[in-house]
Amino acid sequence: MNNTGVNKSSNTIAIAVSGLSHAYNRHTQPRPIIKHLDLTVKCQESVAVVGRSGSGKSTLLNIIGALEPVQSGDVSVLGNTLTGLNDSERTALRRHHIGYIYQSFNLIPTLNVADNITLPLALIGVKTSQRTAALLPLLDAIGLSGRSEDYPDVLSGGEQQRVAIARALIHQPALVLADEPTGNLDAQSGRVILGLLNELVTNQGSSLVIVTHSLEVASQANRTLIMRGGQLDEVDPSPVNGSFAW
Amino acid sequence: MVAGYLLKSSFTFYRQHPLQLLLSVLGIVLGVGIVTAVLITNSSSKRAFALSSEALYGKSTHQIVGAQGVDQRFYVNLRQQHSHLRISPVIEGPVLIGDEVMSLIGIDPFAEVPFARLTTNTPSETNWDSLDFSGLLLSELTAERLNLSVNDTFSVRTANQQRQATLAGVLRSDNPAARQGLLVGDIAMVQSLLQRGDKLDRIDLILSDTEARELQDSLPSNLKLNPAASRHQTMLAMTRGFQINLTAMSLLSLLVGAFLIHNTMSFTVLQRRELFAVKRTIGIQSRSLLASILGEAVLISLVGSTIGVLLGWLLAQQLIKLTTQTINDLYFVLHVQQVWFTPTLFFSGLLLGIGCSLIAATLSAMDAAKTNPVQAHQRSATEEQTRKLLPVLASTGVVVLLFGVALATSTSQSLLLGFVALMLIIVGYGLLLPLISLRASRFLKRAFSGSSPILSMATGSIERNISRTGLAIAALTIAVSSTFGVDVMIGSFRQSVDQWLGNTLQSDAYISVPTTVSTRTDGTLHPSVIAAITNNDNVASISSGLKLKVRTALGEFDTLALVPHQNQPIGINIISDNSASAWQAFIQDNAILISEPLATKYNLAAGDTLSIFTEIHGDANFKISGVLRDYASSHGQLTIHRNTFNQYWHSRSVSTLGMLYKDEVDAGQATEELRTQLLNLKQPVSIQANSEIHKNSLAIFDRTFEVTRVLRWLTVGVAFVGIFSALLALNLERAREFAVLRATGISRLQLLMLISLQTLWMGLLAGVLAIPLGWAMAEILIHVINQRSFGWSMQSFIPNHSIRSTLILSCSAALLAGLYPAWKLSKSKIARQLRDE
Ligand SMILES: Nc1ncnc2c1ncn2[C@@H]1O[C@H](COP(=O)(O)OP(=O)(O)OP(=O)(O)O)[C@@H](O)[C@H]1O
Ligand SMILES: [Mg+2]
Repeated sequence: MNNTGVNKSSNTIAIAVSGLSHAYNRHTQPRPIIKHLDLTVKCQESVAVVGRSGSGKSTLLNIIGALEPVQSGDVSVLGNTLTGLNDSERTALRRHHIGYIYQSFNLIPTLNVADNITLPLALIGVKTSQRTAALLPLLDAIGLSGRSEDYPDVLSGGEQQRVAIARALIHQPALVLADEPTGNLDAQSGRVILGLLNELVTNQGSSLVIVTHSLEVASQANRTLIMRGGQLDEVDPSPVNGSFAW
Repeated sequence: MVAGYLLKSSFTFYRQHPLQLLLSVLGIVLGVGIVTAVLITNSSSKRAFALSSEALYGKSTHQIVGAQGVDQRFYVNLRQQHSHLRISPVIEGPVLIGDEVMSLIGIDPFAEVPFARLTTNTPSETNWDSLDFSGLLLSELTAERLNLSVNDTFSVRTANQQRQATLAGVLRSDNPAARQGLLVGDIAMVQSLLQRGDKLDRIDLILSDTEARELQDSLPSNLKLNPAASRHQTMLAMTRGFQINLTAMSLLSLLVGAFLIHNTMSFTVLQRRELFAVKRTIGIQSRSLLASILGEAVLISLVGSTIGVLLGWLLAQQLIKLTTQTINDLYFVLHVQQVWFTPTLFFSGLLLGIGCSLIAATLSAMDAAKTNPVQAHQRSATEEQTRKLLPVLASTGVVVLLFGVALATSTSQSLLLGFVALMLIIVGYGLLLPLISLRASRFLKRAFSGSSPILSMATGSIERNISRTGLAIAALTIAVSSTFGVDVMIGSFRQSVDQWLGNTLQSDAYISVPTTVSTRTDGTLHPSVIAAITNNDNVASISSGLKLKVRTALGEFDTLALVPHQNQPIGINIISDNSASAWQAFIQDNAILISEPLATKYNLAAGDTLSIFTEIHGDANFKISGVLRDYASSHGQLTIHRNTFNQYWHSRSVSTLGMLYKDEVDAGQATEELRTQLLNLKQPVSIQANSEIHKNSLAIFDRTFEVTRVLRWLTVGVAFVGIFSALLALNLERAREFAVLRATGISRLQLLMLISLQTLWMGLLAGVLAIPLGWAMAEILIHVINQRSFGWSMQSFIPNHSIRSTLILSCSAALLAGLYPAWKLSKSKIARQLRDE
């Protein structure tokens, strides 16, 4: 299954998007969301994407994560041209090399914390003992050491999000996609979680694309891009610059 | 204002979940359909029966009957002595036109007029004069169906002969159904056609009370004056067991149907707990919420029940063919061509469906309406609550179950209590099921923990979602158990009949007059036939029987006057525990044997006496020496030794002969030889090997249970719809969760496997749990319901294949039901589902 060649060295390209367009049909009338978008993300680079609600940020992330089909343009993720992959190859790409974090509802309610986190390892066939070995330091890092037997619905929103981060990282994916991971947390917890995410991503040498509404979050990334009129533009996320509001 | 808003919200929910709406409606349609079909069938056959007896008895108030018909000379005398009385002689019997059994009735056209039985409104059109020696009248509808017009000839077959007849005219009336399958002829012709000698079957009379009293006093002791209604009552009583059994089956379907309706309703409410919680938070009162859910249930069940009643009406058209066949096989000739569908039936079907749905919806609506709005938001709270509730439910279940068992094993003979016991056991067991499912899934989860993530997820999710999975498993269990129960009941019944036939059919071969109606032997054998058998070298021993109807203090019963084989006691079939002495008393002391249903129904036992109306000595008391197992008639039969019979009746004729061949003779060959030999005789007779009769009897048995089988499959249909909607709701509800899994890297195939494994496990669990319940149902059906309605006792027996096919049924029903949502979910776009809240 693992037929996708991946190189994590910092000068190779993790994501290469060129001329991407995407439209949703609304009452049979196509409504373009993304228009001729270009994006390059290098390995080990972290990129923040900001933009108004409804501008197409989640759509872009879903396309890169091989969840949404590419309508036109070229998208290459970790050296794989997405249009050339069939469903099982896309599944394999996600399974082995991508970690996904959403704004909410991230966890499988029928699995406990430990199982939720180790699910990606189980999927790639890692033995139980090795899974536990990988789990413990990660649990420690997210500060949920004693909670591994709990089920998601007894965790607070922030705790759930920490579990989701652990799950997105446990198999050391080359690319982490995060869609407003701190969207419904208070500023303080959001900061803690983002710090955690950044730290882990840096340690593992993964690339990160993070969608956010928070300037503070954006400022922690290597680059910040804004989604506007279906395209991405580079911006300076310093709070002093009031040229954009979202 | 609020109501309109709530209704709109419900409407939107179902518009977003059209399949679920469809399934809810379909569940009700099927449940109501089955029950109404049986209701319609029962009332149609009763109605047809009432109409045809009205046609046969007309305005007569009384009838004179004898122990063996009424001598024609008595009628002539009566006419002369009481010329003012309105009296009419009647002969009736079954005949065949083609393959169809008709009731032939012979009357005296001149005496007939005041009885108005055949010409209710247009007497002038009936051409009585044309009723000469070959003319017959046929009902207009039947003539049309057989493509006959006036003056056409057609052939009529009776037990002993075939004769050409002319259609002399058609019977018209304002109620054509009443005359379906009725043939009318001149009494002299019918007498000779049915070979009644100089006997009449009865004399119909229109009498005032004083006339009746006078006549009563002047009657000789071998004749009786009965009110006309009593015969009608007897015939109704005959089919009572059969109709009760049919009703029992339909009630069982109803119970399963009601349970499934309850499930469907609970599901749609459960799914919207959070929605309801939001509404409660906004400030909508729990009372309005309750009302809105009930309003929804009324609307859905109104639609479902209306369609259901119409479906029932369609189904009844088919069911009625099956039941008419059975009634003709086992009881009497009945033509039901018209399905009787009254407003009462329509509304009772409607009421049934709506009532069931309302009760079901009330339970879950009350729960939803009183839930704390904050808690309803948290799925874990719901599940936690459910898990806490399970032991309480289970303990209640145990109590209900024990109560049901106690009721079932009580000595009461009440059929109603039997049904109540059945219901309690089903409900009690149903309450136990979620806890058992939870425990079993927990065990399974532990057993598979650490194995493949798909497996452990599949087992874990059943436990985590017990509020929903428990419902689905319980529904499947109850549905499957009812088919298992019915299967075991039919199997035990068949096995008992099979064994009984083996015990009863002692001869190697039997000779009888070819019959018009399969189980009745109405003709008598010509002496030349008897002589031929007696003189046959291959035959070692002969038994003989005469079948007739006998009037007793308890009603009219089929009776066998029997000469058994030498040294061949039928003691095996005597179930009262004195078999040897009973048989001795039967042979030597003029005692009679009665069949089990008769004993049960009238609480008779060995040692009691029964008053029988005999030809020679009038009413005479006979000692009952034993009770015989007998599955041939649920109405009851008498067996009397021929020597005894001859002392009380004049007839010396024989209707069947049984032959035992000598040991060295090859039975098959001897039977063939006899067949050729008998061909040369004047009377056409049928000779059947033991095995043939055995086979034919079982075929009739199978035909009798055809209706039950059809009903059983319909129940499976109801069950399937229930399971399908439960699993559909369960899985679609988890669409978002499955999308997360897909995004994490689970492949389509794995998702398909995950869902299938989960449903397979639920199916397997339900199948295993269904077996004890099904067995208990069978026990009650066999030992309580059937015993009390038919009066037959039998051994229960679980057919080998039943357990296997029950497991297969429940697994494949679950799998099939899980397949669609699994397929749909694995096909759907991940990104789209991730957006769905
Ligand atoms: N399946 C779909 N069908 C039709 N329209 C869609 C679909 N998915 C998204 N859209 C529309 O596409 C637009 C972009 O959606 P998207 O979720 O990418 O926005 P977003 O930038 O992530 O917004 P937010 O910051 O609010 O999350 C929105 O207007 C949305 O309504
Ligand atoms: Mg978004």
